[in-house]
Amino acid sequence: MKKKLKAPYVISTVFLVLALIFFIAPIFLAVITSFKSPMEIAESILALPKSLNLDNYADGMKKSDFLRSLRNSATITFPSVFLIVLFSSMGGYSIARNSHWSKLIRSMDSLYLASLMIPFQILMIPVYKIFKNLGLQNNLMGMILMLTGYSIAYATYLYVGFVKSVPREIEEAALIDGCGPLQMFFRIVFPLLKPITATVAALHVMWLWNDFQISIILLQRDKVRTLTVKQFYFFGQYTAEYGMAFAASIVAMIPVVLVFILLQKYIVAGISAGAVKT
Amino acid sequence: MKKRRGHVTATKLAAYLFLLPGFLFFCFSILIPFFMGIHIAFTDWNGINYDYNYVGFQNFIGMFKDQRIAQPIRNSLVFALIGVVAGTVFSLGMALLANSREAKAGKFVRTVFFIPVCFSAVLTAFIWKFIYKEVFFNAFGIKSPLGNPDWVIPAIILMGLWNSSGINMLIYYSGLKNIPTDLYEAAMIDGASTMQKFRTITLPLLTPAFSVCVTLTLTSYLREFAMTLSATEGGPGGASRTLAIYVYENLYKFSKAGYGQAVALVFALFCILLGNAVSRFFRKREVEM
Amino acid sequence: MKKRLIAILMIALLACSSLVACTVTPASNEPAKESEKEAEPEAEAEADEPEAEPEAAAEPEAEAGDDEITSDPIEFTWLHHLQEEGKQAWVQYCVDRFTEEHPNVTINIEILTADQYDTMVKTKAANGDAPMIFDASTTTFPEYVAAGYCADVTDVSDYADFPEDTLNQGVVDGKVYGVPLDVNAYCIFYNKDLFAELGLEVPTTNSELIAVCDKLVEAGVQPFSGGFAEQWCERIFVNNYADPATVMLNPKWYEEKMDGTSNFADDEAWKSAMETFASYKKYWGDDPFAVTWSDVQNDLATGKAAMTMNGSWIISGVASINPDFNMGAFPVPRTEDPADNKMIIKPGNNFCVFNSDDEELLKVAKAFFKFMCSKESAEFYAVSASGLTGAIVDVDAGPCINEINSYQGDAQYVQAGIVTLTSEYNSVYQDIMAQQTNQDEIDVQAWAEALDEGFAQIQ
Repeated sequence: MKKKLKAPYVISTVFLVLALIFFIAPIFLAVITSFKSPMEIAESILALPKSLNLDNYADGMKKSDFLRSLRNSATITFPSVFLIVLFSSMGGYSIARNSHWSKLIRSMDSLYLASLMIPFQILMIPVYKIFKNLGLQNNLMGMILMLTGYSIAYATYLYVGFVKSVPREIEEAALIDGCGPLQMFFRIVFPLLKPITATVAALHVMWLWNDFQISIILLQRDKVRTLTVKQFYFFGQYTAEYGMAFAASIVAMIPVVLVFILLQKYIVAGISAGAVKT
Repeated sequence: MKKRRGHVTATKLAAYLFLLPGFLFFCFSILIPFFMGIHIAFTDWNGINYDYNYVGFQNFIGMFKDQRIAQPIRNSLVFALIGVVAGTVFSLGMALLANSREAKAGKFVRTVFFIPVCFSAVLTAFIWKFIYKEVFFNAFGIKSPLGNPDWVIPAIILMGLWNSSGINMLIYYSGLKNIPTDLYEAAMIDGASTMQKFRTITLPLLTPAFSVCVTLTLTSYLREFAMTLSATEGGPGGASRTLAIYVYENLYKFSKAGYGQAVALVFALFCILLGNAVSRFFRKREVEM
Repeated sequence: MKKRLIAILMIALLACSSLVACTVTPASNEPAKESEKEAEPEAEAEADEPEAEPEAAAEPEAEAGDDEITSDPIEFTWLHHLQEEGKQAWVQYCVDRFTEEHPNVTINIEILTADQYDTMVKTKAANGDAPMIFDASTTTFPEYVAAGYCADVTDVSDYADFPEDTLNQGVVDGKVYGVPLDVNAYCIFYNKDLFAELGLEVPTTNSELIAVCDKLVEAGVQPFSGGFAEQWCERIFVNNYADPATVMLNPKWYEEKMDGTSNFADDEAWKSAMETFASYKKYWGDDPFAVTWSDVQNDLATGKAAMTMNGSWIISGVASINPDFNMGAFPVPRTEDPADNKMIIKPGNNFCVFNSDDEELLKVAKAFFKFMCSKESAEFYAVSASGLTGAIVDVDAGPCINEINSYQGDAQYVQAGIVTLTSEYNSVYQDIMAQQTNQDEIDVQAWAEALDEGFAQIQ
């Protein structure tokens, strides 16, 4: 048994090392760049920084108004992700379980998928119009609304496929026990969707945190700007402060990476179908 | 009997109500704006003036006369083709690699794979422009592929793989974790080989992940925009100008908003048909437990 | 049965309440204010109201002093894309100085990235939410004027500090619709210390420049760093050769190319300028099409390359990398006759006032615009952004700017008030430029023919 495992294990290790190099090398460049002065970057991107200079971090955080932007980012991201997970898991569940009898529900799947093909550029002017008429520009609440709505389709689409892998027997058993639809979903189905929920949450925390194209048009005042938008202050029309930009973006990604590490434990080994049956 | 019917309608009603809140958000952000903007495709609006005239299907007919649209279409298709194949193999491979390690190492590997996702297109482009220009030149003695019309698209896709494979890796990975473990145990008792287990259990049960990843990777490469803009701005000489960039240029730069909207609509329709076909292909193969 | 019904009702209620809470709330007045409090400067304006009140009372007095431009609190937006620190300081300075004098005026500064800017101005204007102060490039300005975005600012100021050539940039049908507050010089920028070290003189003819390049190559220094990975950089090289040979002699040159009355294939002046440009290919480095604009500044700052052709913004750009850098500038020697060398000056974007229906707002914005165009504002800009200004100022903006300013009269070509390529023609022009020059051998005749074909596709 042990001998058998060896060859594939070696091959997979070789691939893994190659993949890790591919992924880590540019991250490494980003990290060392964040410690360099403009002149050091000009001389060589590859060389190690001469000293562990934290100026870029200090200046970058100051220039991006770090605490306020961080608060704005968090205020937008986390409630939106909560709403996305809540409503798209419900929607995904409904589509997965009911599309066999309802044409309308079946077409929702296609509608959501279709909406993912619409380029944002053609939505820009109307979205701006809606926000202007509702007085929602420069409003974090408005941004939550927008981002939630913009992400629902993708998240729901993701849930649909995965709900199908939840054995139906459990629900049937619960139904017999007199469980209502709401109870059924939140008490029984939702906990079984943990792996995909963790995935949806991790992805959307990352996406919303890093959103630029929507934020830049709807949040135009400094007071409501997010970390991601603020990072573009390091890029002028003719100048770019890459050291600071990398420093600020490395600091900005810490919360996202932390969330990812935390959520990982929910992407646990699959539910055992046998265990469910009993 | 009466009770039974009441139950069925209630379940049906519940099914709709479950969909409703998400759908309303969706309407607000996408559906309503989309329909608000659709009429522009039938006008000669230049994107600047306050007024415009309706011109019927002229913009749509104009697409067939537009000789400049051929290259962006071709580029977007090349992006999609190479991107989907490379992206699928790559991120599925990553998920399997991450899955093959024991818990702690796996966690580290997944985090490393995920971190690049947090870098913006601009910063990704900065790092990779450097890698292509200096590292490629010193290590292999070749010029930067970003400056070469024949290699620019694969080069941008490689940047994209670094930047966004983490997303699909995560979806495949949670798909892998969703596979009931006792299936593997049963197969092991039956004496199935690793390859057999992969083909008969992993692949079929991974179909939900495939339907999501393949469909969305396909259409996101068809709509390739941000990474290319940061890396080459569609250059050199238009060799990486995608249809999405062309639409953007028409909408906001060339003062042909009506035409740009028309191209965008036709293109979206094409993506919808293609995406639906691909999605249906996989959805049919999804195994319901 | 009842249980289920209750459950369903609950979902419905939940769904509705969550939606009501989210969609309707911001539209209704009360709670919206609450959320605005932390988000919107309006909150400040509200807090200011008690202060504004007594001032309104003091109004007659102010009017006697004829200084107060408006009695009611008024608020407008300046949307800009000047991300450089020095330029942002100038924006803040203008706003602060003006609002100091007119406390009831609030000016919201909104900043965008340069590539998002035009898109956003159009989007805002299309939705009746245009910024009162904005700027427009050579390409977008005529479009904005035609669409009626720009207010006539002819009488706002006498613009006495602006040279007529420069002011022309914003004049349409004899009326001023925009004012270029900054100008840029386009020429060769070089490393003065490196030239001195190698005993090189500033060349004044084409053959002298070639000799300089050869000596630099001998010394192991790359003569030019181009930045051709970005088309606009290569375009500046091309323009430095083409402009004095074409559009300087015939201001309608671009128009004729666009309407097809003249073509490239028969344009000997353009072709010979491009031949000269192409003859420098060997001096551009190993892989010019992989070099970005940020690489160019790095190459100069570190002494890897000795020269580039670009705009005068490079001065502060390189200085921000290497503060000790000694930058010099000279016009491109195109021919064997030094009299042909022209320091090319192009006005920057036109700053405009939006042509609002609200007369009060328009009046205040114009008053602010007057300050923007003042000498005081120009002087602050020159020092803070260390750049050339539209208005003539006598502050010391550094040795390189002074060097540029030393080319006056016939040694200077101010390119203003001409029709240039529209965005679409420009895009074709630059694509073909990149395609034709990104080859082992540059064939100018083929280049010209490709351009004619490309332009014909749009016409």
